Amino acid sequence: MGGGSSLGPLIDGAPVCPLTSTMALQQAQMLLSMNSLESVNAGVQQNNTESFAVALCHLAELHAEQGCFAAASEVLKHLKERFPPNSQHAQLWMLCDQKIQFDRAMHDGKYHLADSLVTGITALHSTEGVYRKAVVLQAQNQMTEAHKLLQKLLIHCQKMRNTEMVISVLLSVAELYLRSSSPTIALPVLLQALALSKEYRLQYLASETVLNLAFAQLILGIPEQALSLLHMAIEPILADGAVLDKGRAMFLLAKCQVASAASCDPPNKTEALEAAIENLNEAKNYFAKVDCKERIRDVVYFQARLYHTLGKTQERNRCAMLFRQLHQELPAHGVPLIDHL
Amino acid sequence: MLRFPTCFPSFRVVGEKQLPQEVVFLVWSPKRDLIALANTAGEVLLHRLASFHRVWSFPPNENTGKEVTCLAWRPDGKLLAFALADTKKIVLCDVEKPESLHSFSVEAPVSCMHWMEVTAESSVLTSFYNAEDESNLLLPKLPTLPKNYSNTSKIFSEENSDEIIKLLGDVRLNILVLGGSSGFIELYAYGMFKIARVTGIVGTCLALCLSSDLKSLSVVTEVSATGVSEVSYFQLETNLLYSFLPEVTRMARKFTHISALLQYVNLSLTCMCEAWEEILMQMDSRLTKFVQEKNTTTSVQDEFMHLLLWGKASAELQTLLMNQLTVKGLKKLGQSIESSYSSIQKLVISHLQSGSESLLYHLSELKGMASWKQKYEPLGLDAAGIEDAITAVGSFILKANELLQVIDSSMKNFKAFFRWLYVAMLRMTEDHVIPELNKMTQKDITFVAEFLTEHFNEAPDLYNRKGKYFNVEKVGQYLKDEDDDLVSPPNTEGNQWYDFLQNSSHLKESPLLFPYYPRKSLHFVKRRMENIIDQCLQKPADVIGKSMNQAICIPLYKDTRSEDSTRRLFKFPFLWNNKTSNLHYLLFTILEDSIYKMCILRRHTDISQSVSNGLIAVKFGSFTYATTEKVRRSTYSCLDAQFYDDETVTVVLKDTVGREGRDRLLVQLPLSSVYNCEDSSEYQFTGNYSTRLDEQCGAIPTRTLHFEKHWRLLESMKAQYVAGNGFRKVSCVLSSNLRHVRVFEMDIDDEWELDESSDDDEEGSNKPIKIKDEVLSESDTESQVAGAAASTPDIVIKVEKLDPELDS
Repeated sequence: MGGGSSLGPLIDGAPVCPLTSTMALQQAQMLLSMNSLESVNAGVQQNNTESFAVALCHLAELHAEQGCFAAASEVLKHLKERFPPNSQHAQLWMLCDQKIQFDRAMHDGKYHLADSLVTGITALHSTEGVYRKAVVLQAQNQMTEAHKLLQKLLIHCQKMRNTEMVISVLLSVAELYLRSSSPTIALPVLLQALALSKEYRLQYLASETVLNLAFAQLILGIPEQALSLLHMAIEPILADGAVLDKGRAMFLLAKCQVASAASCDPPNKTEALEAAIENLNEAKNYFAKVDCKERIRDVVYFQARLYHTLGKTQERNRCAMLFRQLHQELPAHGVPLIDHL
Repeated sequence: MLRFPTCFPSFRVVGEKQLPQEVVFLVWSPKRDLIALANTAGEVLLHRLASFHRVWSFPPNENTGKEVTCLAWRPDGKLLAFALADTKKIVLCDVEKPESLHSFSVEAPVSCMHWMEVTAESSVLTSFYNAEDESNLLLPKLPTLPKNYSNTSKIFSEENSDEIIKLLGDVRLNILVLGGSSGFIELYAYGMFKIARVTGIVGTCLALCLSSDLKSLSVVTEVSATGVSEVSYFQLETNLLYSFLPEVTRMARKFTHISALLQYVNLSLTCMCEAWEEILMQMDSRLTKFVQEKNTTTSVQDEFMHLLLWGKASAELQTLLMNQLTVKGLKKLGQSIESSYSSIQKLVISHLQSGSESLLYHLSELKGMASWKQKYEPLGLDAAGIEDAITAVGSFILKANELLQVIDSSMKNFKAFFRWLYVAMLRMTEDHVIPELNKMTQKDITFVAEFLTEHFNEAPDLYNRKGKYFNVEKVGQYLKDEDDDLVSPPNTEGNQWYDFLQNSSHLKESPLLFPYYPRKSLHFVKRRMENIIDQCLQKPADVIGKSMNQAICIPLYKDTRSEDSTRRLFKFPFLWNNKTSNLHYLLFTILEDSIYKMCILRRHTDISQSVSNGLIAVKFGSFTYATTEKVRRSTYSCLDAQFYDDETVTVVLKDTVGREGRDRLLVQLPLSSVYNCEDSSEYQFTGNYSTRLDEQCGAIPTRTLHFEKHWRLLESMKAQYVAGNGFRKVSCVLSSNLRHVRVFEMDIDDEWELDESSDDDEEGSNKPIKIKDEVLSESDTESQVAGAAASTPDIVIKVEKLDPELDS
C-alpha cells in the first residue's frame, strides 16, 4: 500500500521539508503559535496566509497518520472555515482531505471507494492522482494496468525532477514485482530507490525502501540477512513512521524471525517463536489504531499458526476464532499472505 | 671463555626521581609510555617514561577540586579520568592537554575506579556508527557558546556532534566503573553516561573490575567497625549488559548526545540571563517610586497621557523626568535596552532554538528505539516517558519562540515611546528640538497612547508580589528562575490557532500537540523539560543496576593494619581480568606467622562455570644470585603486588631480616609456575568460602617458589608500592615515604648489560663481570611470556611442597 502516502506532505510548494514527523510537528506548531504582532493594525486576516494553511494541513496529515482521525477532521474543519472553498489556498486542504480519505479507504480494504476519490485528487494534483490510481489498481490485482501507469508516471516525474514521487513510484513498482513473486527483478528497482533517497536525504523513504528490501530477501529465502537489514530500518520507522508502517515493520520482523527460526534447535526455536508472537501483538495494536482489519486478519492467522506450533491450544483457538470472524466480514482477494508487505 | 650465567640482574633502571609531593596514586597508560600520578597537593601529573620527564600537570582548582583519590585511563589511553573527594566530581582529561573535557558529579566520594573495554566486536555496532553519521548530516552544526563558559566542560562549549563523537571514541563500548563508600557503585558508559547504579553491596569499595566479556563485576569492599575492618570479595552478575550489548551501546551513545545537548541548552540560557541587565528594570522602579512619593490623585497613566495630549506635565512628573530620569539617563536606558534585547534575541535564535531542535531530533530517535520493545524494554527504556520528554522539549521551543516575539514587540514599543519622551523632555528644558524628531503623526500618537494604557497601569496586587507597581520591562520575567507565574503573560487573544484549539474537542487531547504554558517563564518550562528528560535517562540506570545480582560473596580477612590512611590509596587488594581466558584474579595478602603471604583467588567471569585452583597462596622461598650462584634465603613478606600482564605478577617483597637499604626486592612472578604444573591438582583449597579465609589459613594450599632470575634487589630504597605495565614492559616502584620513584624496564634489551647498581650478595665482596645473556633476551619476547613459561629451559623455578627446608 501507498509507500509515499505515508511520508506526509507531498504538496507542491511546501515551505519546509522536515527531517522527521516530530520535527515537522514542531515547526508547524511554532508557526501556528506566532502571535500576529500587528494584530492591532491589520486585523484578523493577517494569519490567513499560505504558510498557515500548509502548517495546518501538515497537522491534519500527521494526526491522520497516527490514527487520530477525529482530531484530523477537526483541523480540516477549521481549515474549511479559515480558507473557504473558493478562496486562494483552499486547494491545499481539499487535496489533504481527499488524501486522508483515500488512505483510510485503502486501509479498510474499500478499494472501490478509494477509486472514486482518485478523480477528485487528480483534479487537484494530477501527478498525485495518477499515482493513487496505480495504487488502487495494484490493490485490485490489475497488475498489468498498474505497471503501465507506473512506468508512464515514472518517466513524467523524472522529467519534472520530482524526486519524492520518483522514489514512491519506484517503491510501488518494486512492490508490484514482489507481489508477482519475482523478487529478483524487484531488487535493482529497490536499490535505485535507496540510492535516490540517500542522495536526497529522504530518511523516511530510505527506511521504507529498506523495509521492502528486507521483504525481498525474505522471499528469496535469506531471512537472516533480512533480519540484520531490518535493524537499520525499524528504529526510524518506529520513531516517526505512520502507524500503518510501524505495524508493517513489526509484522515483517515477526515473519523474518519465524523464517530464521526454522534452522534453530528446539529451545532457541521456541524462544524465537515466542518473540515473534510478541511482535505480532505489537503489529496488531498498530493496525487496530488505523482500523486496518485486513492486516489484523493476517496477523491473527500467523499467530494462530505459531501458537499451534508451540502447542498452546487455548491461545491458538482464540486467534483462530478471531480470524474466522474477520474472514467472514472481509472478502478475500486471493492474494497469498506472504506476497505483500 | 665466559659462560652464560643462568641468571643475571634483571630489570634495568631507566629513571629515578625524588618528587616534591607525596604521591597518592599512580597508574600507567595502557598504550603509551606515560604514567599518571596524583599527589597530596591535588595535582595530577603526567610523566614520560624516559627519565621520568614531566609532560604536563593539572593543578588543583576551586572548580574541579583539590583532593584526588584515584585515576583511571580509558583503555585506548587517550583519556584520563580522575576522581576528586572534596567536590565529589569525576573529571575526564585529554592526554594531550591538561584541560577538563568533561566532568560530572557523583553522590559519594569515589575510592576506586576501573575503566574497561568490551572485547566483543559486532557488525550491528558498525551500522549504529553509520546512523550517528546520519544525524550529523541532517542536523546543522551548533554555534559555539561564548568563551567564558568553555572552562566548565569543553565539549559542551564547542558543542557539535563531531566533538562528542570524538570524545566517545571508538564505537566499542567502554565502561568506567566507580566505587565509593557505603556500597556506592556506578557504571558510566564511555566514562560519561550513567548506565547502572548498583545497590545492595555494603562497605567501602577497595577494588573493582568489570570483566571485558561483560559477564560479571568483581568488587572488593571493606566494612570497618571499631578500628578493625573486614574485607570481602563479591562477584555480581551482569548478564543483562552482556546479552544486550549492542542495545546498551546504542542507548549509551544516544544518551550522551542528549545530555550534552541538554547542557548546551542550559548554558545558552545562562548566557541569555547574563545578557539581561538590571538596568532594564530602572523604568519600573522609577515609576514605582514616583507613585509612592507623589501626592496627587491622578494616576501615572493619566499624567503621561496629559503630557502626550497637551504637551505639559505636572510638577511631579516633571521632577521625575528631569531630575531623576534625565535626558542623559533616558538615552542610556534606551541604548542598554536595545543592546541587551538584541543579544538575547541572537542567543535564542542561534543557540537555544537550534540546540533544542537537535535535542528533539535525538529524542525522537530514542523514541524509535524505545518503541522496539523487544530490544529496549528490558533495559528500562520507556516509550511513554520519552514521548513526554519530546512533548516537554516541544513546549520549551514554543516558549522560546514566545520570548522572541515579546522581545520583538518590546523593542518596537520602547523605541517609539522613548522617542516621544525624549522630545517631550527636550521641550521641557526648552532645548532646541531637531525638526525630524518633532514630527509625530496621528498614528504615532495612537501607538504611544496604546503603549501607555497597556503598560502604565498601576497594579497594586503586583506591588504586593514584586514590590513594584509596573511591569514595563517584559523580557526579564522569562529569564527569572522562579516558580511564579509570569507578571504579564502574553495575550493570546486573537490568535486563531489558540482559539480553535480551546474550542476543539478531540484536538485538545491530541498527544501530538505540545502543551503551551502561557503563564510560565522560560526557566520554568526548561526546568520541567530537564526533569522529564532526566527521569527518562535515569530509569535504565536503575533497571540495569537492579539486574546486577550479587552472585558470590567471599569474606577474605580482617584488616588491622595501622598505616591504613596511606595504604588505602593504593590498589592492594588488586583485581585483574584476564580477557583471553575470561578469569577474574584477585591478589591479596593474609597475615600468617607475622609475615604477609600473597594469596591469589581466581574465578571464572561466567558465574556458572568453575575454575581449578581457585585459591592459592604463594610463599617466596629463595632467590639465586645471577653471577655468583649464591642463594639468598630468608623470610619474605609481600608488600604490594600487581598484575604486569596476563601471565605475570609484579611483586614487591620485604626481607624480614635483611638490613635496611637492602631488604626490598622486585620480583616478576610467572603465573605458569603457580598454576601450570603437573602437581597442580594437589593444590586444592580444602576450606569453605563462606568462612573468612584468614581463619582457615591451613586450608589454603601454599606454593613456595624459588627464583633464579626475574628478580632484583631494590637498593637504598624503602620500596613499598609498584605499578607495572606489561604493554610497554615497564614498572614503577614507589618508596614507603611516597616520594621516591624508580622506573624499571622489565624487558632486557639485546645488549651487553653493564649493571652498575651491583646486585651481589650481602657481603658484597666479589664484583663479577656482567655479561650478556642472549638466552634471556630471547626468552623475554612476548611469545614466550604468553607461552607456558615453565617449559622454557632458562626460567628455572623450583617448586617445592609446603615445607621447604630452610638451610643454606
